[in-house]
Order: sequence, then C-alpha cells, then structure tokens
Amino acid sequence: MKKNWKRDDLIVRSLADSYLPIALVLGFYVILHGNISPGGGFQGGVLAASGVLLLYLGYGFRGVATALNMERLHKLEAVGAIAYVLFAMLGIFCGYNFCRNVLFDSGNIGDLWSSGTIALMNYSVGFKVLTGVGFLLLLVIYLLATEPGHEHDNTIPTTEDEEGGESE
Amino acid sequence: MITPVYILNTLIILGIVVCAVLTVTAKRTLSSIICLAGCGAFVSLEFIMLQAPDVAIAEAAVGVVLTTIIFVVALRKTGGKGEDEK
Repeated sequence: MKKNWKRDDLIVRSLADSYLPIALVLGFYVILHGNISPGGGFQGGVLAASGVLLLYLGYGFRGVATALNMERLHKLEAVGAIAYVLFAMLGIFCGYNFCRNVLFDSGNIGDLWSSGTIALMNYSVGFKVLTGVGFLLLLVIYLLATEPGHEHDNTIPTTEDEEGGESE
Repeated sequence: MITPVYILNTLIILGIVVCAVLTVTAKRTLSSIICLAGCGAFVSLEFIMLQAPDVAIAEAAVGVVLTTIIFVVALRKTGGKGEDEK
C-alpha cells in the first residue's frame, strides 16, 4: 500500500518468470485431464488465468498491456461459449437430446480421449473461463493503473495493434 | 481414537477458526483480507481431507487468489484505509 513501492524489482521479476510457465502448464494440464482426474475446465481455466497476475507482478501494467489484448480476450470468451453450445447440440444433430454424448464408445476407459463429447465440452468451458477470468484480471489491473494520484505509468496505451499473448 | 489424520484434521479446523476470528477482529482492512485468504487456504486443505480434491482446486483458485485480488483492488480504489484508521 505504499506509494513508492518499487515495481521493477529483480527478485519479483525473476520469480514471475519462473512461476509463469508452471502456472500455465498446471492450468492446461487440469483442463486437458478434466474428464479423468480432479479438476476440470473451470479450475484449470482459473489456474491458467492467474498467469496474467504473475505477468502484472513482474512487469507492471505496461508489460501486461503489451502482452495481452483485452478486446480480443473479450471476443474469444464468446467463442468459447459458442463452442460449448455447438458441442452440446451435437446430440440434437444426431437425433438425441441436448448435451447427449454421441462419441461415447471411443477409446479405452482411463485414456485421455475416452469420454467423447464431454472432453470437448470441457475444453470449451476451460477456454471460456481462461479468457473470461483473464479479461476480469486485466480489467482489475486496468482499474488499478488508472488510479488518480498514481505516479508511474499513468497513461493507458491503446490496444488496437498489439500481439496476443500466451493466454490465448 | 487419536490417529494422525484426526490430529491433522483438528489442526486444519483450528486454522479455519483462527483465521476467521482474525478476519473479523483485525484492525486494518488489508490484514483482514489476508486472513480471509488464509481461511480460504485452510478450507481448501479441509476439502482435500474430506476427499473432495475437485472442490479443493476450485476453492484454492477462486477463494484464495481471485477474491483476494479483487478485495485488494477495491480497497486500493477506495483509498487504502479501513474504517478504523481514519
């Protein structure tokens, strides 16, 4: 809560560099193995989206704004929701009810690809939560950076010509 | 019968209670937020003890990380002072 808190700290930046791949790999592992192990799309998405926070702790608002595009994340969240509904409507297309598993006899029990449509819906939920929570964290960081009386990096860079980062 | 699992369970529940009491009685709002995050961590451990690792992951991700960040940002946006330190 100190105003003159040093943002460009070497230790914090090194630890953020070290922990960012671990957080991303753990999050994507939990998303991918959501059908055969504890966890799932929501938990893995939140775990992976906390990489945005690590990026902020290491590099400040400027680094986050150059690495991630806020509006693109906001649109990709809608893509995740649409993908979920489409995978759920595969049951209707095949003559069954909504959310029906139509690929249930693929793979052996315990394999990564053994649950048919459920895995695809799980990945859709993971993608939606990853982008949605990432957008939420970006919004929170944006609110923090535009605080009046906050001296460092008070100007907000426009985000139309930035490259998408690793959270996409 | 006292087993190690019983002792560990008791310690975790004591941690939950202590963190909750500290959350209510803390003087500064930031301390209260941090104690709430500690309470969430103990609740997550207790979920693992009760064999619900799915809920434990969700609690650890949402209850410890996200709510803490949002509370800290809200505290900072409102001036960084609690009601007790005007």
